Amino acid sequence: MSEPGGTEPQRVPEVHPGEIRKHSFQDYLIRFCFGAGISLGAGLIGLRFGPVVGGIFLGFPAILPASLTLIQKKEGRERAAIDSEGAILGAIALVGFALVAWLLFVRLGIGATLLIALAVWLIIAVALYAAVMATLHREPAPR
Amino acid sequence: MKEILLIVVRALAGGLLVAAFAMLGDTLKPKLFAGLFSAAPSVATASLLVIGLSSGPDRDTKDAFGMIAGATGLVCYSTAAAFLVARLGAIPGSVLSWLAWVVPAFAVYWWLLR
Repeated sequence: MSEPGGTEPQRVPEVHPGEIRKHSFQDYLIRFCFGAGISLGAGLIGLRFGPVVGGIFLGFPAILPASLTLIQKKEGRERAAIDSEGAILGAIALVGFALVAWLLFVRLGIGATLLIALAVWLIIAVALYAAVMATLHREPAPR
Repeated sequence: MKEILLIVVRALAGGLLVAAFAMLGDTLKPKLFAGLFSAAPSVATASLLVIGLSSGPDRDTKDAFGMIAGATGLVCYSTAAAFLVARLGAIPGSVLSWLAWVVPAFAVYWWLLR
């Protein structure tokens, strides 16, 4: 949380719903198209080469290129690089999501497995974020 | 025909979840925390839900198995992007970083999952 003087960097996450108004409908349409395109591609590849190969594309960087371009346009290159650093932590958590899903689908069924896998993703991602902030006491500077 | 229809449903659901996670990420501060949601399981959740409901959990297990390789590639992609975007800018940096996804994702598949 920022100090009143503004010298202490923000460490505790905050939600600012008003930020959505700074983005246009087109910004989200671009991301929708990226997501739909990757899902379509993964489905067609799975149809042609089998589900395991199709599954590889469930970890394809679907949202990042569009997001980074938009962040750079609105907030600058350094903020886009910091967003990528956050994505490293989210991606490590995504490996956890995939492992949990692989282990539990047959045992627990689709709904329960997806809920547990999403919870595992969130817990790992937030724990890694907390560990980075506790170690560096600030957002890492782009390398 | 049913397979193609399911892929279209997957695409629409994937697009919606990607846009929803992007919207969530845009509301979060600081930027490092918002970045977590750039690697959220949006396409994966939508796809696994549609596949599972139509073909059962056995089929989902195979897709999730392959996803281990894809997610490993995404760790490498994000690392490369953090480095390259700071130097080259968002478009060349994120496009070049796709190489850092393809090589490790298919290496993990080839050596560990095949």
